[in-house]
Amino acid sequence: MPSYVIRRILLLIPTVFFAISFLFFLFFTLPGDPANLIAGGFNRTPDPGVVQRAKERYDLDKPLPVQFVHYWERTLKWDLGESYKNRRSVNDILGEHAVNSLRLGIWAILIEVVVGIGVGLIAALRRYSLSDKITTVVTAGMSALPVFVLGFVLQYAFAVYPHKHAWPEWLTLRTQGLGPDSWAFFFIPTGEQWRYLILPAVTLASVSTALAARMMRGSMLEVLRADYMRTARAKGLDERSIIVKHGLRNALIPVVTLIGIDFGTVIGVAVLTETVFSWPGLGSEIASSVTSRDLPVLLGLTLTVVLAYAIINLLVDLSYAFFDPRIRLGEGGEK
Amino acid sequence: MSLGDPQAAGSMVTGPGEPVGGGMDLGAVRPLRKDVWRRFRRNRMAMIGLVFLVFLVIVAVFAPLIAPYSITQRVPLFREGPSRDHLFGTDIIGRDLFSRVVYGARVSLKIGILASVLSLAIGILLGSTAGFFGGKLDTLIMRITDIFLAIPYIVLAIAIAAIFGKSENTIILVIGLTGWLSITRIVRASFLSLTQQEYVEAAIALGYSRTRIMFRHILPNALQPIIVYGTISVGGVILTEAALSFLGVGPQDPTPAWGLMVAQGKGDLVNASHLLFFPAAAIVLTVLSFVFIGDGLRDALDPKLK
Amino acid sequence: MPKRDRSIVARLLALLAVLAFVAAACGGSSDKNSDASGGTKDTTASDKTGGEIVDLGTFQGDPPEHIDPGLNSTLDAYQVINELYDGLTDIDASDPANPKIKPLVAESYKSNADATVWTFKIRKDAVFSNGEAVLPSSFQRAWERASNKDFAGDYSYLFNFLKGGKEKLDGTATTISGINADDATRTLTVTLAKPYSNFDAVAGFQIFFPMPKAVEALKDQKDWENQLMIGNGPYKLAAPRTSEQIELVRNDKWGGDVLGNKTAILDKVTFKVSKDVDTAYNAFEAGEGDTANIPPGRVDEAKQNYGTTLDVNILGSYHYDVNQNDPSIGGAKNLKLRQAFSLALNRDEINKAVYDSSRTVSTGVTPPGIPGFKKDLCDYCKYDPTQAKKLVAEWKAAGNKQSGPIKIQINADNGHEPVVAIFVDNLKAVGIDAVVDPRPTETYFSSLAKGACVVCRAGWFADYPTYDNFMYDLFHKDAIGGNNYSQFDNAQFNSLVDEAKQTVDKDKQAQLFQQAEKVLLDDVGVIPLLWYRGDYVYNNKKFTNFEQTNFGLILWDQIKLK
Repeated sequence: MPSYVIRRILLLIPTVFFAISFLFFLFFTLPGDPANLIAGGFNRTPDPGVVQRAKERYDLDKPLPVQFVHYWERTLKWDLGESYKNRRSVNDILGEHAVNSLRLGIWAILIEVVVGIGVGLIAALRRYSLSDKITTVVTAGMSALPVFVLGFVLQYAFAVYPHKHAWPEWLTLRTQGLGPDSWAFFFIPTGEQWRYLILPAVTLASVSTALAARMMRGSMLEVLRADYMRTARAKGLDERSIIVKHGLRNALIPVVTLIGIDFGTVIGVAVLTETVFSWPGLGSEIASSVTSRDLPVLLGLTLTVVLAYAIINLLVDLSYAFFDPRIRLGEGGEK
Repeated sequence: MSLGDPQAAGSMVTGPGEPVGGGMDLGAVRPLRKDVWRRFRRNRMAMIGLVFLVFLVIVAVFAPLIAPYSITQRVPLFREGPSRDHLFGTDIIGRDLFSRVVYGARVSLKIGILASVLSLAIGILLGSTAGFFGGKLDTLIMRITDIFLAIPYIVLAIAIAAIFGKSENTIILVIGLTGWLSITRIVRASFLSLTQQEYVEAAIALGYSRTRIMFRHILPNALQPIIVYGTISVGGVILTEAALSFLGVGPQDPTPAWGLMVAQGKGDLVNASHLLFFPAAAIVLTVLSFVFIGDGLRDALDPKLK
Repeated sequence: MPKRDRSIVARLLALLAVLAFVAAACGGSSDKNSDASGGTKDTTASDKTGGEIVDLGTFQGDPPEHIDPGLNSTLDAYQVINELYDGLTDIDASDPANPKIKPLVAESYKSNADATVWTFKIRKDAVFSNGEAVLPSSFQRAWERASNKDFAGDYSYLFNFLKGGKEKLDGTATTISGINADDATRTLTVTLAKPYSNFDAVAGFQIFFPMPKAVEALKDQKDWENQLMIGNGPYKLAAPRTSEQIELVRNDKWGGDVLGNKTAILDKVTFKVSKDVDTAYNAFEAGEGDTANIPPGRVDEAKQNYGTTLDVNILGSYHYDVNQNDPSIGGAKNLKLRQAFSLALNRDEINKAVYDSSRTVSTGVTPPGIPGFKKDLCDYCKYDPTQAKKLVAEWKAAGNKQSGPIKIQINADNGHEPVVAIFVDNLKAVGIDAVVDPRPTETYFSSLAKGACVVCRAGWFADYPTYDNFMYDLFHKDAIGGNNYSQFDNAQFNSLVDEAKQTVDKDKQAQLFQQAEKVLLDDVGVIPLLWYRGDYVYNNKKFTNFEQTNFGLILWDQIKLK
């Protein structure tokens, strides 16, 4: 096991290096001279002196390979540089946005786990019942609706409409921003905070919850037909303990994989949800850094997302061993 | 990895570990076409999906006959709700929304299918090469896949759109070039196990060329997950197009892409809800059709399930 | 269009405050009399202070890049900075037709005969919000800081006005030699690099705002705006800015404004950042904020239910430049085609369809509110498809034909697509073949400056309220390579503008500018379309005295609770 973990971590290094280096060079193939744009070129023709100073400040006057080496020298010391756009330290930007992303992501995943697995399980156990059919249609429908449309509908239904009809204040949810920043244990909203969290969390969770429910249903159905389940039944064990002890554990494996992947994506690239609810997370910041040609922010934030994604995937793979004792890590190459 | 609000092609199906791509179960047994169709037909949702898809294709092909107006023709009615003359109402500059949604079937199907085909082609090529040859080639391909999986999808999408400009064709390129990662893994997994099968060993012993073995002998047996994945991913692509339009890197007006229309109508939920409703409904129904057809195919192709 | 039109905005901002020439005619009068203006001081309302306002209309998209006056280059952030800092002078725009430059932190100022040496006398009671006196050295400190090579922002080139400013910016000098601050006599003496009679207007620009001693303790100047930045304006920061919001609270040590107001009325102003104009409006409707930007399509509804600033004329023009060197539409032989082009456009319909009639249909480029403005200068700005068809026929009869569709260029994804869609349709109706050519924002303006324009979307907000800011800066031959995207170079026009700029008599000057604009419009060097109006909506059940100036600034400190 430890050697497996070490091997995975070693494999991570070249992946991250090439991914970030690829982005570095991709950046310079984008149209528009970065220094010109930093100096205000999105809107007009900037003063040549200002362009020149921007070049010098950000190393852009040096040949690309030199910049590249400088970049990695700084990055290895975890100095992510300074945003071209607002001159804030990327380390600071990262800290602020990562916390926001993490909080939103945790709740989206909690919803996915509880609702997705729960609904999928119930649907599987009551196959062909009305609730199963409803689950099938609703989950499919949820994953077929563009996320931002769902966000707009929720905003109207739970914020605008209640306000216009003078519902009590606490029933009116909030649509923009982080709220009062009152959290217990890092992620539990207290006071007014939950009114700000609920809509973005639900929106972000919507699609993945629907997928998790569909997958849980399918996976559970398959497990229920498996030989070992038949054996267990033949042994006369009671149905409930069969399902919990044998069925659930096996059925959860693919779902856990999905949730692991979602956790990575939810943190790094929840661009649509963050945009609709003005939630200052990593995803929207990364997206806008490409558009605004803010290289240090792009690379710094992506680097973090990549690392987080890799670590979560590693944890997910390790968790297989827990769910299915037959799986032994470190054998048979990669999964 | 895919768009976070996970609507890119990738997550419509599943990640690694899902039974679909398991390979082991596929064996060399190919279900008969007739059986597949019989089983497919029994799945009511899949049939509804298929019927809708056929309808959609007819609409797309005969759009000029169905649509009363062209996509750019204007009348002096702005943001008007549905009426007898304009079944779906008019948009902000007075174009007939019904006609645009009808022509949109062409655009959205074209984007959905071509982008899926592009990513399938890349995925099959890389996945089969990796799975069949194994060794260093396999490692190299999988490392490259990992690298691209690590880069947030949206970064690549915005960058490609910035380099090639924004158009229908660019979107196909963007989604095609970013959507091949999951399929590569699925195909590789199938090939890894199929290469061990006796009939492949027999073929090698007979001295057939590697390409022949790869594409004539193994690929047909690895097709099931590819077909299922490909079908569902068409729906995923249509959603991705909507997401990219919302972020301002989709096709450009006056292209009647549904996703673009939805993104443009995002503020009109209450005031002129028809601008949002009709294109959104078109997207939802189309995506659902592809998902149900994909589900149906999966069940039909894998006889064990029934 | 959903997002603020940044291209134009930036310009405004740029020099919005470079207000140069502002008082060209008025001179640097230092009288405090603002009776004539009348507007802002509401004598009936009580002087009670208190209340809070939450703004959702200023920051849409990304949070403001900078709120440091030395770095900012956008109007959006200027809304905040203008509340945090006061400069030597300010513009009194309460009479929109006749804006005046007045001393603010300076109690008086004068220049020498050739306008190369300016002497500002700083008010005795001027203090920063921490109690520190605002001294001549506070300005010197700020200017040296903002012109530091390693810090310099987008508008640092304004220090080129000062003697020694260029050397400082280049890094060849460590201080600007033209600044002399004498704190004992409260005198700031500024020597300019060359004569400039409107430096008093420039001196009120944000980059010239004073800075307290605290900045000297900073290890890195860029950190200033991320902490509790200290200023001398009506408000001060309540907390360091975040990506999500900027909170201001009243500064009780404020010295008052040029309109005679002595105190900020609301206790607190919070600017919230929204990433999307439509969701911001939703949030406004859900009671999360008190102001918003009006998205197209919501104008009627906003007018019915809330208060708006839609009646305010903003000093800006939305127009399309026509490249005079382009073979398909430029030059004398294509004059009739250009005229037909302009006559074919149904401006009313564009305004109604795309902007919900929230703008004013142009009858020229120079907007109302600019001294010397005259209505209906443009003969080809009305909608006359019959005449347009006739002109096209004549143009063809002269042996011309279109070799391909005329390209109409826009910076993509900034909301101009529907406008051009109507263009193309209108033009087709009169027999002109045209096509939209959307171009990436990143390279749009630099390519236009290099001559890539055919018919290209442009726009302009007044940097300062003068006629020449539209004529000289946009269409004079000196502006070719810069903002003259039309490559317009007409001898008669150039000489009229040159003459007008030197003319002291205001009526005479106005006539000359009007003649020049007429030449430009008759030659269709530009196709005027719309003039801007205010675009804020606010909760008028709660607030009153919500004013937007012609320059687009909201007077946040004078908003009152109802």
